[in-house]
Amino acid sequence: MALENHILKERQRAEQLASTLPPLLIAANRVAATVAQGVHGRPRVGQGETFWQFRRYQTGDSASAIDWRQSGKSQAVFIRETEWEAAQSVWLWRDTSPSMDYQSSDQLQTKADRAALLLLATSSIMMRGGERFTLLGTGIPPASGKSAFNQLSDVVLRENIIAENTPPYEQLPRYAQVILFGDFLSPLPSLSKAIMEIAGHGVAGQMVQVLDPAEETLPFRGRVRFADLESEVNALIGRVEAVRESYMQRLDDHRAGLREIARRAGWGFHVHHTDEPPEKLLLTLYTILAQVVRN
Amino acid sequence: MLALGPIAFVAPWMLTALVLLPALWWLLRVTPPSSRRIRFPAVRMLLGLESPEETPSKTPLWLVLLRLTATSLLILALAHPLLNPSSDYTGTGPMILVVDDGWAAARDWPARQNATKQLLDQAEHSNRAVIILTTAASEQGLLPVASNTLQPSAAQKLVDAIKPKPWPTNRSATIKAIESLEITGSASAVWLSDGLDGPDAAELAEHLQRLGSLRVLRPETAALPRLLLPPSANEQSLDITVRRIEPGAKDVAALRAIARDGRLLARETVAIPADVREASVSLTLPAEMRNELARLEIEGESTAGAVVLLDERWRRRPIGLVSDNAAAGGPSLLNELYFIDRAVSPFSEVRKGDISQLLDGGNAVTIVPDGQPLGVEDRKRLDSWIREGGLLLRFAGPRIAQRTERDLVPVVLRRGGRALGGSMQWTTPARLAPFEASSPFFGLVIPDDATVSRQVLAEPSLDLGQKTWAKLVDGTPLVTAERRGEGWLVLVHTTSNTEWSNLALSGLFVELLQRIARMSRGVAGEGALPLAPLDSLDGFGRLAPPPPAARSIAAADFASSIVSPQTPPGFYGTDETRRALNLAPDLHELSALTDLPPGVVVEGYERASEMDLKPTILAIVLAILLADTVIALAMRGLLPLSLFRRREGIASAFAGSLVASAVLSTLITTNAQAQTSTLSEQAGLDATLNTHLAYVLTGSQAIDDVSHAGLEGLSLALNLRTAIEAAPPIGVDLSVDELAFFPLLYWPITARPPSLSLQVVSRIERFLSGGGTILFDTRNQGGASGLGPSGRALGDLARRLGVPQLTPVPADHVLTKSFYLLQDFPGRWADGRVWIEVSGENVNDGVARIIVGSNDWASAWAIDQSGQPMFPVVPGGERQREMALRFGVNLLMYTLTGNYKTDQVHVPAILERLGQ
Repeated sequence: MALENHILKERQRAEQLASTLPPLLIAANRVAATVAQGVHGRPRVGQGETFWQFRRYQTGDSASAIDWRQSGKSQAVFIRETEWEAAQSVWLWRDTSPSMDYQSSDQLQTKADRAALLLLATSSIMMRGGERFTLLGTGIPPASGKSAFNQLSDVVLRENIIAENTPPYEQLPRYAQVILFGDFLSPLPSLSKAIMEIAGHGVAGQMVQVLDPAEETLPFRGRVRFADLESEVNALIGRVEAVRESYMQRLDDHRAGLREIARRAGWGFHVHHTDEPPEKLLLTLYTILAQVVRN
Repeated sequence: MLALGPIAFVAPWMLTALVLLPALWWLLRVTPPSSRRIRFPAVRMLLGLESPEETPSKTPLWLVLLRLTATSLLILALAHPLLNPSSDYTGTGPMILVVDDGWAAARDWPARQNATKQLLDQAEHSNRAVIILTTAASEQGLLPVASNTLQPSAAQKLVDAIKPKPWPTNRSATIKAIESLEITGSASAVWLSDGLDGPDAAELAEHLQRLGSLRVLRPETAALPRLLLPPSANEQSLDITVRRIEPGAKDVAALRAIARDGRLLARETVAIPADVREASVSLTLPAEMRNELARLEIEGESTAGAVVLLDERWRRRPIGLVSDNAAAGGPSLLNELYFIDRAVSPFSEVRKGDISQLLDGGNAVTIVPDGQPLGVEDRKRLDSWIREGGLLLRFAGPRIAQRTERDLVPVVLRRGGRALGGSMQWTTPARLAPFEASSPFFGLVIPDDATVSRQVLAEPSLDLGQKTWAKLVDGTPLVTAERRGEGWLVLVHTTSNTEWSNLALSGLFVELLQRIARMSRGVAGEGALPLAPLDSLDGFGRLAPPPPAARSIAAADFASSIVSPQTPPGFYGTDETRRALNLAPDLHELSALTDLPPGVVVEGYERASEMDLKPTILAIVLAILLADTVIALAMRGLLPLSLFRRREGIASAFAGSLVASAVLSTLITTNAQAQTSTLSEQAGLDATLNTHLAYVLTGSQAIDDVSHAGLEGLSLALNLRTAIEAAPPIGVDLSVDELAFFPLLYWPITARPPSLSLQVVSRIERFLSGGGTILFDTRNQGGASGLGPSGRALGDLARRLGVPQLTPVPADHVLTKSFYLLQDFPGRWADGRVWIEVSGENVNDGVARIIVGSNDWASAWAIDQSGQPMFPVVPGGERQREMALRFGVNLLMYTLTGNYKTDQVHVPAILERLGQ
């Protein structure tokens, strides 16, 4: 009985997601298209698929590298060289905890939707850039191309059973990139621990804090009992107007702690509000990622 | 019970809870409102934050006031307030009800009965015994005695049986009855007084007060009865006086003069100026109508004191024609009495006979023609009769001219007489000179062709001019008169036939005789026989069979008899010679009841009924609490108010909830009040929901009122006797109103028929073809084919409407057996024929669409507010009225059920009943 209920519930949730997220996917593609303008070329010889130049065969070159068609046109033996395509692997993650399922107004997306949108849009950009990407914590090896994007979007859109509010630990190769989307409202120590574990191997990364504007300004009045979305914890405030200042102070302190964690890990830290357009943050991310790749 | 003006509280101790209101105020101000609950991700940030102040001080003042209002109203409701509370009765003993049931109580008898019923209800609530005591002698002539100690329900039956009596109260007897009462405990006495003071009124109040407490119910000054005094008759008019018990504000009384058969002869209004006790009006009636006058009454006042019965003293002036050989008279045109008879009989009762017969019978006027010899005995009798007030009219002629009359002539006559205009004379017949102002004939128009050719002449004397009532152009007297004792002796100096003059052929002759007759004094039937009660007035001033205690009055004592249970007011004697005994002359100086001992509670009869305010207030409290709930929800943001922002949301929620609560409380209070008041409005829609009888508004208020009252009476009979549930009748204006709702339209025909436009005619035709039936009533006795103005009007109408062929109602028609078995269809008149449409079997379910009659049914059915018939039926009898009602019932059954009764199913039963 309980099992049936569970399955039913999951299916409903999946359907709900399926009905809301295809537009998200379209939106992600649209957002990405406005940001990624063409392939970022790396003007040097290297491993890749794109033709770069022919050069004379030298000893030590592999016989399999000889371009026989070009060699047949003349006396010399030529080797076909391809342009170096730096295959950058990016691990993406977004917060799936219930606290993300919040919107202060019907006009705004929930934080979870916005985080998924940002994640998909980023991966769409990387798909166009030929980067390899995957979802952190799934164990799927990074891949590139449309199929990888489809696989990733499948996972993002379909299943959200495991609620995580801190990124899971996974053994990542060196120089991998990590991009984390979440509200990062968990206590600083647990966040710090999780991030340091990932960053410990020299993994670079970006943290994007997605917040609802109401969480910034606490625009409530009167006597309010605030209930947590994740636990039974609640807070009764006799007069919200009176505590607004101290709440904002606390939020600022928390954010300063987050910045400190990012700084120590050598990561970037960004704040995004659901009432802002997603393009702005994507452009920032794109610029940073492109720089990292060029270097 | 705590009384504060018109409001009293059943549970006043509940009001002490109002002390708690300030505490409630404090609580409302201090207690925080319950918090809103908001789901919020960043709760962790808020944990441990202490707000330096609390929200509750923000509860708006108006909301606190609203809640305080609701609370105080709730406390008020629990204290159970009553509007116009009935007084409470203290005491442990029985409740003594002293009911004045004399003549003056009849004026507002229903109000008295209501008051009595309320008192008995209270006695029942408080479980007290009741003693009933009336103050007037009973109809059996028994003096008032107190009833046994009764349960209130039994007392109610006794009270229902009390009727006002047509004689005054006897309070001294009541005091005796009170003295003989044996009462344990302190009684509470209530005296339902008639508002009249009397010699024993104050003493009665003292006696009652001695038993315990006394409350006196007394009518308002304006509601005191008025008295109508018997008119004094003079030659031209009746002077009628209306007297009030107590001079008060300006008052207007309408007097109705009613004939013996119930027709209204005249209606006159008397204005009684402020602070004056009585006022008079003189009623002028033509002689014919005056002779029919039988009753004067104050309109709308149903007491025996407001009715004056008139007997022969006021109206009958029989004229006796002295004729020994009345049967053997010569050729009629030569007969001396022929012209007199023809001239007098239309306006007076004429008797013929010899002098002794006539004088025994009692005449106002005795006419002696010339040819009648008078014996010595006769002359003596005539002379003494004149001196007692009789009027003797003699005509001259050859016999008087030849004899020397000395005693029974007003002037000394010259023997022989005088002839004018004979074949051997130059003179021409003389005409009449204009009448002088002192003459009783003054004002009559003298026709040119009335001439006198012979006359007897008077010896000149000093007083001849004074005695002359009419003379010829040459100054010789034609009519002379002499006052003798209380009577008159009149002589016409020419013959009563055409032998000496053609005066007898002119209209002037009739007028002269009328004027002379008017000079006479009315006579009452005299006789040695005791006068037996014929019809008596009841307490409401209606004629009814005499009560059991009534007994005959010796003729000699009649003038001095006063009204009592043994001699109730009414008519005495035989049908031909009636004597009237009236109540009003016996009531001397009346005054209102004012002089009561101190400590007596005095109240009026017209008291607003007690009204329980508790349900109304509770409804208001409920509405306020509902509104408060909605407001609280709105303030906590729990109402779906996506369309409004918060502030406007509260405002609109407040407004909405106020409207809702107002509607709710209105509904509840309306419902609460609907239990006490009745709906007065009669919506047009109502006509379709109930069976209404309808009548055509003729434009004449009097006829419309009668139609309405008549159909009301018929509706009452239908509701009482049949399964038809008739609603109050409706008057329809043919030019405006839709007729389709009504099964039957009663159409009284007036002399001036309504002008019907084409639309109206087509509407009536639609009504008829749609199953409606019209009852035309020409209201004039004597048949629809008669030539009266309304008959002609009906003819006009019938032509406009295309009324089909009519036939007298066949003896076996359904109308004779649709409910009652009837042979004829009397209304107010009995002998009018009823015509009915020749109906085919297939038209309108076999129901005739047109019924025409002349019996004035509405008047027979008509009842007034007190449920009493408004008009007597002619020739009379309650049986005729009953038959009229039965006709109405049959008619309605006929129109509503169609030919149902013609079905063979009922024939055996009907045959069986017919066989009996």
